[in-house]
Amino acid sequence: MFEERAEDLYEQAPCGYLSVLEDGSIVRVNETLLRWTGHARESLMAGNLSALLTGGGKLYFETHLRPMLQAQGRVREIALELVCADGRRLPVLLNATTVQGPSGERITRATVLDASERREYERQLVRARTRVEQLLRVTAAMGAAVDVDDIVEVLRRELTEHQTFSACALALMEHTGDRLELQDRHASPELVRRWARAMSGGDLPDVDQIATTGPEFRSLGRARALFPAAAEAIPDDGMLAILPLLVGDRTIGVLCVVSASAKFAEDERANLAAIADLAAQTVDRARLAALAKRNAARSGFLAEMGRTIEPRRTVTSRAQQVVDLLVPYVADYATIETADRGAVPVAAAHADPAHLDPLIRLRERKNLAGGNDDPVVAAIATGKPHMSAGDTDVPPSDGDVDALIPCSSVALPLRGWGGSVGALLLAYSTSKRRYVLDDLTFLTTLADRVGLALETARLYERERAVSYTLQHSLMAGELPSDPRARIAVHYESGAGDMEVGGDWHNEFMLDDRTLAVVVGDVVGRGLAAAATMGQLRSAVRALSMAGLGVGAVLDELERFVEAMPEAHMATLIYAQLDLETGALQWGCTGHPPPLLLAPNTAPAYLWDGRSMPLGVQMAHGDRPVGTQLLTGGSVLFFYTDGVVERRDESMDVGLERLANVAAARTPEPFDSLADDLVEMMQVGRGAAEDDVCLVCLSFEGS
Amino acid sequence: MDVITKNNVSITGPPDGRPMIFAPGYGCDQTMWRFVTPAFEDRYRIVLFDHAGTGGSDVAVYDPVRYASLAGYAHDVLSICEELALPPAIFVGHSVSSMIGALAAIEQPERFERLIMIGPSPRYIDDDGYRGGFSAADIDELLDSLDSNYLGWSGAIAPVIMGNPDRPELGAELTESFCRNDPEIARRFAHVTFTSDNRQDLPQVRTPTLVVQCEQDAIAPREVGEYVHGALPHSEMVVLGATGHCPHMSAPDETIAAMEAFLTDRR
Repeated sequence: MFEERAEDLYEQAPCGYLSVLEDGSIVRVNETLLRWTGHARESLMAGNLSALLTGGGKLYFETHLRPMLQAQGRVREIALELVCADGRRLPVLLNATTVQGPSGERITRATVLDASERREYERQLVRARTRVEQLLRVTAAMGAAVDVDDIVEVLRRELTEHQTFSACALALMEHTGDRLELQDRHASPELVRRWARAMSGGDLPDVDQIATTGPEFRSLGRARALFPAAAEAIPDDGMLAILPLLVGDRTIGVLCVVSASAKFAEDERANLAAIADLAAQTVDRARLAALAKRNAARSGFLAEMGRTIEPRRTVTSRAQQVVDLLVPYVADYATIETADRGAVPVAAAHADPAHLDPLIRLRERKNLAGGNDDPVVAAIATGKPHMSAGDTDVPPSDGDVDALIPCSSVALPLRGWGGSVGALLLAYSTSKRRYVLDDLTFLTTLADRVGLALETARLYERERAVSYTLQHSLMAGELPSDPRARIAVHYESGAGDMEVGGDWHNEFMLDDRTLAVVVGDVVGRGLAAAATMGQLRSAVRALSMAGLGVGAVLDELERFVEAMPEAHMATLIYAQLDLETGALQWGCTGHPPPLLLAPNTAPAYLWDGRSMPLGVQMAHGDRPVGTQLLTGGSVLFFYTDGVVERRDESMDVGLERLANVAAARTPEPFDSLADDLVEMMQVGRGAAEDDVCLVCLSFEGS
Repeated sequence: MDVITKNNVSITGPPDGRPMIFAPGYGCDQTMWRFVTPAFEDRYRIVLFDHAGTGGSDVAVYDPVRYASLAGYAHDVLSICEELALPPAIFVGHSVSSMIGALAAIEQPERFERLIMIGPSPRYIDDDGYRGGFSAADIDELLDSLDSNYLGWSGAIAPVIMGNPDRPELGAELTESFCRNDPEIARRFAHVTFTSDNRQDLPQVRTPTLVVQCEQDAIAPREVGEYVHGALPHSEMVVLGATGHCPHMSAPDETIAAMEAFLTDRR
């Protein structure tokens, strides 16, 4: 039977044994522990537990282990580092129990296991856990990031605060795709410039290169100048990591990280690569979100622009409204130039009103000078947008030049359905913004809409001109000029957008001594009434030239109107005045009576010669005619009910008012008599929407 | 939350007795005082508590910003005094709690009659012309140890006291929370404690103070105790024969005797 000796079991045990007293002095130690630590038995036995503990270990022992031993009597699985004779650290696991010795003293017996490998494993686990925690933290923070500024802040906080890197920087490829721009809101212009130089000058590697070769890790060297804020903390042998930001197979930028230590550990590299990936995805997402937001805003802008310019009905007012909306939303200044308006822009706007006039003069000069280098000329000629960065041939003599020199401009052709309408010029000057290729889709849509809007405005203008001409033709005719009679007229259409309405007047010589005056009123208002009025007016003129008497004219007119339903219920006063004798004859078909103001006589209405309005089915035959002999200096007033009628009054009141007003206003000055009387009657513009017509006839006598 | 719950405050002793507040040092909780408090329980109103986030206190109220300096802990002490409406108290602080007590006594001196500092140190890391006993690397190692050891959440170790044979009445049971603290909080508290520097505060302590120093204390060596005694305007110093940093656990009788002598002197 093989028996093992206790002594052997103790000394050669597969673990270390150690016995200490309360004051730390070592009373027993086994061979294994001596072998592991390299200490000599004599020196340990003469010494103290402190000799085996590191500084931190001593602290830990005094603050945690000793109290636990005192209170509980034992501890288990305590991880410590023992100090070896050669200064090496030995990671161990320690169990200890406290027993009472024969004289009541407390002895603590400890078992020590070499835990080097296990400790290393644990360390790796802890590091892995830490890395996972870092990645979770970064993922959460990136998830909340909205724009590139947020992303830069997340990176800065994670890499330089949570982790221990000295500095980091994010640079993204610009939309134009040709250079990396440092993304740092707080960067000074000098730093931004230095970065640009480093990126292009070879201090940092080519972006395409690192996209293919993967992250680069190199010593700092000259790149230190890129991180002035951290430069002091970075020792000479610090390292720089450059990681590409990849989305699919596109390189959208780089992440640079500076470490003060001389190398990046394997797991650190993996971590940084993961963070760079996260950053790339987040940047991509943020950009897409920003793009969507911008597009929504632009669509909204286009819709709003359409709504705002719609009520404008002339080319000039629409063009001006457009540029007023565009500045400063998409430009520091804008002009619209059309081929038919000469050299001066049809509309212009500048973010600073003080520069508006110089801008107009500048464009005028450029248009007069012609030349294919002008973007506007180029746009019109080619029918394509013309973008330019900077404009160097602005004459320096033009006062405050900076506000007019564009740092970026685009000229867009404006096209209607008939071809080129002109061009829209947009420019950034003082705000230092730039137009980029991405903007062109929006700007061309904008230009298309503006072109159509201006074309439509032009059509409105033409239609308006046509309408104006047509309307005037309905009321054509010059006032006759005869020394024996003077005529003053006030006419306004009740419909705001029309020049003529259902009311009309006409004055003409039947022969060299007879003056005819007609004032009439067709039922209704607006265009239909005006058209009817035109026909009736012509008919009256034609019939009166036939040499019939007043009554017969009206009878013939009745036949005419019977065939024209739109003219039914028309009223008129038709009068003929013999300018030699002053003999007046008239017929009033349902129309308000003429007013006579004879010299030194009260005004009197002429109630004779009345009959029914036209078109009311009456027996035929000559209509009743009134007669009166006028003395020289008499004034006759013919008018329509718009002059004397108010909504809430009977006509009697209006008639009396007209008589009073006519008597109050002396006939002189005569030219403005009709206008003044209408004003005194407080009718016309702004009052009822009825047509207003007043004709004053002053018989001078022969 | 009221401070009683927040700091796991427990009160024993006669209600009209002079209040004696015991503040545990770094690493463990109020159960460290169980060998000392019975000696005073008949005459003094004993107030025990745990620092925020340790022992039986509520971990949820640990605010890393508030407790990023010892001032946060000092304010907790003052809150306890206020909420319990204590008359001027005797404050017994172990290790870092000595400094916490000093800060509290500087801010509201009227709340404290006496201070007793057991194993105090105003600064643990060596400085020019000052020996605190440790280097910054030692403190880092301590923090590493805290990370490597799972005292915060290991399985329950059967609590058995190796009792003091002269005091069998001290009993055998122990709460499970003894020396088991939330690892994250323990780490932060360790950082605050061992990187603290309260040398400039000592001259401002007006309260009469007793410095209890162990002959062999690896955490707060004798010369540190001498420094504290020298910097305090009104202090006495007692050197115990006991070794180690926790004489109130390893040599309670000696500790009690030193305290009694100080308290009965000039009553």
